[in-house]
Amino acid sequence: MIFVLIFLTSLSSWAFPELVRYGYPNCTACHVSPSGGGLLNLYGRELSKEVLSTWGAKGEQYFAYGLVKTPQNVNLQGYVRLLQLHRETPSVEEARTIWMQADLEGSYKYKNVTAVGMFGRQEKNVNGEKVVQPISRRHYLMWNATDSTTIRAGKFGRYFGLNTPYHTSFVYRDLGFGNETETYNAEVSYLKNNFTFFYTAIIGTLKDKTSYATEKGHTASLQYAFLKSQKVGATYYKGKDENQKRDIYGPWFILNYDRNLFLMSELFLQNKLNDQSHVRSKGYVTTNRLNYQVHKGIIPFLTFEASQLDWTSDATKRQSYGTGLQFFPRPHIELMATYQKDRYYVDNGYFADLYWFMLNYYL
Amino acid sequence: MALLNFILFVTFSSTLYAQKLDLSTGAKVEFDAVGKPAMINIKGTGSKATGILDFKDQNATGEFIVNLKDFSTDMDMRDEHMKEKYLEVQKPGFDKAILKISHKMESLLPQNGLWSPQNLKGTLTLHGVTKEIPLNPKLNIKDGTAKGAVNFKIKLKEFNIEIPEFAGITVADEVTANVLIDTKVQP
Repeated sequence: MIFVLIFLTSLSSWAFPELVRYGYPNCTACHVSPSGGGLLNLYGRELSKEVLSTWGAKGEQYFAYGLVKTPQNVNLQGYVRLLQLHRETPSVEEARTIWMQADLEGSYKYKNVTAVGMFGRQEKNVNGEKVVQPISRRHYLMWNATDSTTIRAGKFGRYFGLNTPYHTSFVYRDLGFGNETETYNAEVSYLKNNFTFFYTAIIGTLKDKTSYATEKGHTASLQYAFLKSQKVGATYYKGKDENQKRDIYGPWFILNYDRNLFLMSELFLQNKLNDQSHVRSKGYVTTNRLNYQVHKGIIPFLTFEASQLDWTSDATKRQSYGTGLQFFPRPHIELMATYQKDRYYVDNGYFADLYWFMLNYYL
Repeated sequence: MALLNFILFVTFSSTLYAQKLDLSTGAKVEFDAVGKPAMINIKGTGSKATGILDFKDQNATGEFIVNLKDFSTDMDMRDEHMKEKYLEVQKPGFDKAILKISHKMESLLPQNGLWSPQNLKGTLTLHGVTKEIPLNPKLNIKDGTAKGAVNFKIKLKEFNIEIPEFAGITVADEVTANVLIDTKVQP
């Protein structure tokens, strides 16, 4: 059940920072949100056909396949996500089909101010019972103060690391950043030439029961794009809740050769202090994915991940080796299948096999 | 005797100081533009420059033609807008850019080494407007082959080209063009 919960809370909405390899270093090329993910702007929809998808017909990339026209200052998008997973450990064998997401999101822009709202359903496990409840994963106001500076406030995800949608990865899973961990924030982003800077003040969940996040704090990220298609960056995060305070910091990058071969890596160090026990734990987590696009929209990959969030305890040590295939057949559709071999060091150590298949559809 | 000397001088100088870069089979032409506010890099490829650059009597002369219809930026809709709405290639004469060079040179191409004169200028005809622009060549000459690029900046407004906007992205006024050269230096 814990395993299912991880998936329920860990897959985020579409965002593909690896598109830097086509000369798109910033999320705002495709998304309404400065930190990416979710609602696509018109340019993002064009790219979904021209750059991401194997096939695509004229006009297919637009909202509702172009059957519904929206004014230029309005963006709409619907999301449906289905997950089939299978996991085997020495003591557990589990297979599940999960409806992950069914949401609608929209934005309205007036002059330099944009309002964004999202509404959908959330499946939660409460005392062993599946509970379905309404959720708004995002709602915020955004002000494009200048060409370079954007300020926004409201509920949205904290900008952290590469900010990929692959939140089953160790980096996001182990550090507590994933879907449905959105918080109320105030954020400023500054974009100049090849540099982008994000600072987010995390106000907390404001008693929003749909969020799994618990912390308040700050996060700052600086990224630098070079040679028109490569990107490096670093993130610092400071968080605090009733039980602990922690600092997380580390570098990340996306490097590619000739667009098709690309490596995405993140490495973070965490320094955590438990306020109750006054025990301090230090450790690391890393996620690495090597991809090769064999044909437009068809991307096999290899993954290597490792974490040990307490140097003094082998029980916190984990490693994972995996392979998979990501396929974007047409605009609106992403298919992803992965196999992972996870090695745990707790309880004298054991291996787990994890297979999952995901269908991601947006309107 | 003076007449003989003169004939020898003319013959000698015209053979010794005449060189040319023949791009009649075409040199690749690319352009780089920046789209704001997301600072995206837009690269145009697929077109060629054809022509011959003559070096004679310390003058560099040549005329190069670039077919604008051949450019692609890897996005069909953007290409359509670029060509039809902004470059207006459907209008007579607007489908080509013509770069003319007629310039007094301080030095000709070296036998071997870098050729990168600071003051080379050309006359660019684009979108119905003709304007002098500075050129920045960097050619490595080795074993009779010239390899490198000539780049130059184009300010769109100076050529009466409306600043392109596409799907919320506005292109910066200055675009960099690169002519990629890899050809034999001919006598």
